[in-house]
Amino acid sequence: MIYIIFIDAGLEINGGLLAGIRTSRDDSVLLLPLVSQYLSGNVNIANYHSVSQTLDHKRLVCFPISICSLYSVSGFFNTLYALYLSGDLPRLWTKIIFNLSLPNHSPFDLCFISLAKYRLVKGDGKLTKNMYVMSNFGISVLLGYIFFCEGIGKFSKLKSLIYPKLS
Amino acid sequence: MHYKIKPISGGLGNRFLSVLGVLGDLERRHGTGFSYSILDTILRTLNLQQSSKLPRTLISGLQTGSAIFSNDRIVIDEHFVCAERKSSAGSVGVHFRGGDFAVWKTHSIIPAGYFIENIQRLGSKKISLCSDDSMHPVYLAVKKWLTDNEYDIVVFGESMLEDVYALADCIHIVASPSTFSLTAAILGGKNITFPHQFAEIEALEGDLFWRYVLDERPSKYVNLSLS
Repeated sequence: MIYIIFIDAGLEINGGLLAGIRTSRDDSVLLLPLVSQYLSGNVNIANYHSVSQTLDHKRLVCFPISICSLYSVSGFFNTLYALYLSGDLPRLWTKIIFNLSLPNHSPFDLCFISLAKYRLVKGDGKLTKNMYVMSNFGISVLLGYIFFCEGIGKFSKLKSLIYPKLS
Repeated sequence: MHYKIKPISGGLGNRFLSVLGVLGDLERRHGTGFSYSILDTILRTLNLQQSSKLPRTLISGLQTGSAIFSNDRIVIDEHFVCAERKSSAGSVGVHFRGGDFAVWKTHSIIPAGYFIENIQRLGSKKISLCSDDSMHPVYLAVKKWLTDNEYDIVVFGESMLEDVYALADCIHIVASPSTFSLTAAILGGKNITFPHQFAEIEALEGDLFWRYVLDERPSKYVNLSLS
């Protein structure tokens, strides 16, 4: 299972977040600092890499992405598809958790929350109130999107074989 | 005016450089008075100005080699997520490209000596090591040499996007002749060294990019050197 955390790139990795990463049951954690133009497009990656060295039995992958890539439905699915192409998402999984601790951006600005396809999990001792679990329906939509994109890719390759001069 | 930019086909580095070329050309023509979206799953995730508007004009990528030597330069961190520029105390990035390079051109597999000599020359004891081929004998030889000589190594290589930003975070990249490393340098530390011998062979075969590098043509995006 993969645990994905979207955080504001301007946010320090605090004790709470670190404890969340350490105690999660997932063996892989994907930390994605969200960068906007207002941060001059820059992010201090070394901060995050230093965190990974404090984790013994957990794989922490970290790289920044653009926050505007999450402002639309297609952008959100595109982002997850990019993670899949980059090798960061397995081909099959059961759950993705979003932890939206974004002090400078309301999580409700991000369209995927307003999709209402995600279940808000309230304090059960494991997840905090600002974590969201993607429902089975959400997973189905995502898988559909991935298969659609891959299908388009395969169709394009097929077309180039059939009509080599047009490709 | 809104443009939909379609990169050339190829790896991440080639696609990125082709978009860079298109954006430079668009800024020369329109200044900042244009918007765009990129028709590429991964580049779209890293782009800071992605927008969707109609009507739009589809524009295809330019040749990759000329983009970084062009006078039509964009301010990179206004368009793409970048790694913060470091002082001189950061790591040296080492990127060994194997995989399909082994069957592409035999001279594209660079011997371990090139990496080791440049690591020694640059002086840092902190190394970020990336490769798409972690079982290749050259990569293993470099890694063993680093371990034997007690370098502080962080090994990447499981995630393409993590690799790009791990290299971008370095003050200098010692690289196989790959546009992937070049992309990382543009998004971060700006300093990159490529193998001299490969550049000479490619320039003789008519490759314009390597000819420019051999001629020490300045780039407004990166400081390129050969060794």
